[in-house]
Amino acid sequence: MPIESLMVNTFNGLYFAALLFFASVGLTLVFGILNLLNMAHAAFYGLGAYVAVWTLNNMGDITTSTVVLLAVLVLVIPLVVFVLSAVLDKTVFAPLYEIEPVYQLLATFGVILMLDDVIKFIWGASPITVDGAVDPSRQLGTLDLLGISVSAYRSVVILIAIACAVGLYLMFVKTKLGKISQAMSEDYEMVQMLGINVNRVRIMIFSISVAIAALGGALFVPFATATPAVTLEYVLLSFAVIVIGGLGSLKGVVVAALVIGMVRSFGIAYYPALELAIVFGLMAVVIIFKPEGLFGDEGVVE
Amino acid sequence: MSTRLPTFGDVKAGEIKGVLLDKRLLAGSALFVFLALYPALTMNAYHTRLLAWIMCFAIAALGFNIVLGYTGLLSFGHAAFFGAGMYTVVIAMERAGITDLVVLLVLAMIVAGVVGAIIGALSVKTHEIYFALLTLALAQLLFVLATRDVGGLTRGTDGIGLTRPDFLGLPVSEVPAQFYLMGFYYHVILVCLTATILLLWVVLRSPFGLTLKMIRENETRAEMSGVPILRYRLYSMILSAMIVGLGGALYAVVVGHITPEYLDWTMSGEIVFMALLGGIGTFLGPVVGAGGFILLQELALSVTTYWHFTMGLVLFVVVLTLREKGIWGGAKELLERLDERRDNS
Repeated sequence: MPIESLMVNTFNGLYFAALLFFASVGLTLVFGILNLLNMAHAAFYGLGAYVAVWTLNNMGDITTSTVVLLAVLVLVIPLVVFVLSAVLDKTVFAPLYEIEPVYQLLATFGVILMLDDVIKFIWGASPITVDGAVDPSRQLGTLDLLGISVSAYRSVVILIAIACAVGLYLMFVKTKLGKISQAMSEDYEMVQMLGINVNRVRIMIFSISVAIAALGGALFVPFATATPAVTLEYVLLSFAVIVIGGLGSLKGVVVAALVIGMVRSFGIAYYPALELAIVFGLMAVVIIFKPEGLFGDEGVVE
Repeated sequence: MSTRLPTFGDVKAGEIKGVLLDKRLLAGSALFVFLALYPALTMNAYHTRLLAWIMCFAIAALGFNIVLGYTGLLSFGHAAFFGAGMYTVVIAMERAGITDLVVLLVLAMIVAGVVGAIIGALSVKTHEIYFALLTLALAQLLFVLATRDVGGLTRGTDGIGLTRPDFLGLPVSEVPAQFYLMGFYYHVILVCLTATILLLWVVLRSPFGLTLKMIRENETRAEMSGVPILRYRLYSMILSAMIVGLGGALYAVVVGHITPEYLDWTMSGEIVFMALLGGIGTFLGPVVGAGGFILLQELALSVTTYWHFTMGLVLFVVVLTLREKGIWGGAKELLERLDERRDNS
């Protein structure tokens, strides 16, 4: 049934797009608002994945309730990572804001190497997976959507991604923090002159960004294994997303995540050998012909 | 449009004598002799292998630094050239039956140069991080094609094994493996490294090299002076790719088995790391960096399995403290300061 396979692939594409959105939205925000190109951003996606597997497997003795497990994935893990990244921003990342982008890339490449070994030190080098009993994706089963049977868990992930995108948009247009961040993306020094504590805003934006990446990693593992290779894969994919969307644009990330999500989903279905090649080819074509990306010459939320 | 570029005047005989007695040249020659005799004197196969490994990457890091240190462009795609050199050797041996080392090396440099010309032509118009990201994307494209075995040349992730090449019609490949490396191949690498250093020393001090530096220092001024910036950037990419390809081709025989890993972006990262560790603002920094990187890695591996952490920390600290000076530039500065203090007292 071609129409059914079309719908299944579209659904999977949406799921990939949701994961890519989580992994890369923070990268583009940190670059657009704080002028930091953090190559290690997606490493927190990998970290989130490991923390989630470990937490879920340890939860098994206490409860296997789906609601509690999902709450852990969606609320507890991002909150813990939020606090952790605030500390990291104060210490490891603080000196990086002052240096040229090229050196930022290299220093944060060093951070990737370090985080990689921290993960291996805690959880070992072999892949780890979520136990069946505490796997929310199994508990939720499938549901019927327009005649095709899809994973209910994946639908939840897609909905969370949409909520997250809308939430970020509202934060930027409605809240004071969001408006200050928008002003900072335009003119960092001017905001500072006006007597606003830019360091506090910086830590907030950085921590929110990193927490969203960890949330993505946490939501990713019930359907996949946590391996050290996840980090490296998502570092590249998230760069592809933000380059195609345009550095520093929220709308760009959403559109580019959808594009790459669909390319991957349909690519895996029809041209499995070339699926990743298309992603990097697209990234190269965008930089060559439209270096500012699809929406890069606009502000964060325009 | 005429280009006015600095030219060398006639070099006087006295200057030549001065150059020959230069302590840098004397120290270099002494080091060359020492390194050439090292395998025969110590008969240490492990050290020879390690030195061969370091010298291959020293060539690659030197080649890489033409683009970063001299032209001021950060490429995150040099694994493409390194891997192109490696795959050229193995594919030419297997498919075309070429077994002569000299032919293989020349061929590898040509292929790497062509790959460099293509990637360069596509990317020289972009700037800073866009250049880094574009070279990354293009190199990664090659990596994906190699892992998926598109075109049936690379055999995917299994990789291809390699036999030992001959040299100018001599059947050196028939000697036992240890002697091949210690008695012959090690010296080929040493000669190639020396030739690369001498060649780059001349090229980077020529009007061509000075023009590259001018572009790095002030692009607008270079353009206003009539320098065709894009073309010079392309030349520097091609030259860089050829030398990195030579490093890769030499390394292919040392490892004996080629997998797409050598085309991956982490490989590019390692080459960048080596150049930066040694000092991208110095001429010999990349050589020191290659040695430092590999020795550090071996040392860290012998103590702990978590050598990535050590390397990451070193990279982080070097970027934040020494910046373009690297350990080589930092050491030189320290020596100069000590000299000054001695002069003052």
